[in-house]
Amino acid sequence: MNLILFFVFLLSDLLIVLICRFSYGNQSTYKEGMLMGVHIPSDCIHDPQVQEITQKSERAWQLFQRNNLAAGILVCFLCFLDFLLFIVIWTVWLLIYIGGTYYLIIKSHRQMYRLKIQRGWVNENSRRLVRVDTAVSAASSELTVSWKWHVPVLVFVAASLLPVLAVRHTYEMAFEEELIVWILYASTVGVCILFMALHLGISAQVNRVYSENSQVNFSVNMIMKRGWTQGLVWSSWTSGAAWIFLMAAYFISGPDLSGWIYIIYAIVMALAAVVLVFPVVFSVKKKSETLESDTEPYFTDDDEYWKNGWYNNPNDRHIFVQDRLNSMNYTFNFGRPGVKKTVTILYVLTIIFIVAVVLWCVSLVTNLNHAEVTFSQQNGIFALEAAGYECEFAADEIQSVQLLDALPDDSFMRTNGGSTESVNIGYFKGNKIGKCMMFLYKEYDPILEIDLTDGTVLFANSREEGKVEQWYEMLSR
Amino acid sequence: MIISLNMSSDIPIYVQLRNQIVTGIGKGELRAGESLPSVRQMAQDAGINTMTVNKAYQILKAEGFIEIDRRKGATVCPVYSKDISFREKLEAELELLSAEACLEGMKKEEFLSICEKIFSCMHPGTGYCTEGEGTV
Repeated sequence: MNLILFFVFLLSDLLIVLICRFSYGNQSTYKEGMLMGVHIPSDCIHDPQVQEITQKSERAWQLFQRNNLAAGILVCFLCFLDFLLFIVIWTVWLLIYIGGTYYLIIKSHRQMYRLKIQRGWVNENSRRLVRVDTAVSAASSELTVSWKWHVPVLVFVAASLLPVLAVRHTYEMAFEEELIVWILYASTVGVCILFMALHLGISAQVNRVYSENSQVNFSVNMIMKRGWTQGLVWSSWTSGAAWIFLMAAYFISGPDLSGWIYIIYAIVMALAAVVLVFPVVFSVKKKSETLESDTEPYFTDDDEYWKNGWYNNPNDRHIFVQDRLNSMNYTFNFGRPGVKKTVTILYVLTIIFIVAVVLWCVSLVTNLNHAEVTFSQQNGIFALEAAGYECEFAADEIQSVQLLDALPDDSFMRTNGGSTESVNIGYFKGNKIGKCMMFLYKEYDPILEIDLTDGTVLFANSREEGKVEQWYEMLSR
Repeated sequence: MIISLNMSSDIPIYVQLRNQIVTGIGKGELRAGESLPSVRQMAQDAGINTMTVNKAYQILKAEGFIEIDRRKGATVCPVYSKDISFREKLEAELELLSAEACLEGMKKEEFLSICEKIFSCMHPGTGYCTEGEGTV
């Protein structure tokens, strides 16, 4: 369990640090007439003060990223010591890393902007100009993949509700098992709708003027918009296919699926992420190549709207604009009414969500580690309960009861429940035994096995000496 | 063609838009039959109100520079000779410009040279300025 957690968090940390490092890490390279996100005349980039700011910021950035890569790896080892401590420290590390990344980017951006103002490197001619390339704008509908490509997959996924309902009626499924299916279904439909909405949003984005040459403007706008919209369509189709595959397996074999089905599902879902990111990364690379080969570049000096490190232009009607510090990203226009409040609410909700998830994890593990397995009998109904997981059965539902020295020799997989260093509580699935519920303290015996007439197998034990034998007696009667 | 709108200028945006499109047609940067962006797309890319673009397009349509079709959108009209009212308008504007140039101390030859250079840049329906033309 801890090993799986270790690898999941290790992979996440590596991805977070490397993606941040490479997507925001080219600020000191002169690109699109900018250094550190500030427009600087090309003949001024070798100025000693400009060099000093870029070199200092590059050094600080590399050091920060290297240290955080090491910290991100090291913090994962804590999950072998104490899960609660690990989850709290990991969250703190992540918040420090995100905050630190923004601080470094904004700090060097502001320094460079101050220097630009001091030296008077402001292009007054283009300062308040808004430029539109009529050839690009007139052909705007040709720049993107049609949003209608999302419709078939959305219809297929929405229609898969019918097999879901069929499986529900054919097989007797526990609420928790059913809930997982509904969550997967809702998330797939949600992803398809979200991707279609993003597709429409990107199609409606402003066509930018990068050059005096309309051909270059057309190419660059098409490269970026096609990259994003293609990625969204491919990803929507791939995640839809993953769900339809899982649903077909449910429909054919019932809810009791082999682990391989879930592994294939997870692989196809991972592929959905790859097909989203790949065209975007490719388009950013191609855009850079096209702009580098352009002989008539045009830069609009709108730095005063970015002077704080974020975009604030009350004259611009757009709420979302492309982030100049990372062309793969979009950012808010804080100059529009209501945006500041909306972003504050979003940040507060995100913080509340993170804190709630951490508290939930902490309470879950605490509940599990301090869980008491209770066995009761009332009006002929027996009940086993621990950490919120419960199983009730009548005397006539019992097929057999036996005492075991240890769990049967089988490979168990947790389907819904908790497995910590001290307990196994909730729903599990064994290769030979099939679906079962466990209410077990590890390292304690004997274990009570109850086979019910509907095929469910229950395993329970207690930390109290003689308690399990007492339950066995009650059930045998 | 690339349209540049100055958001802090005293000239209304719809007038700037109209003037730039007319200049573009005059210079041959916009040819007869060439499509202009839809009102919505132009407004979106320029970050201005659709009413502003619509106003500019309606003026251009009334002046005969563009035609607006429900399906094809706005397209540039072929160049044709203007009527007597245009000549009157031209003379009035040139009179004002000549007076301003004169008051600035500009010589007649210099003024005419500027006019000639700018006019030689106009090739409606044929292409762009050749090198050196139009630089004043």
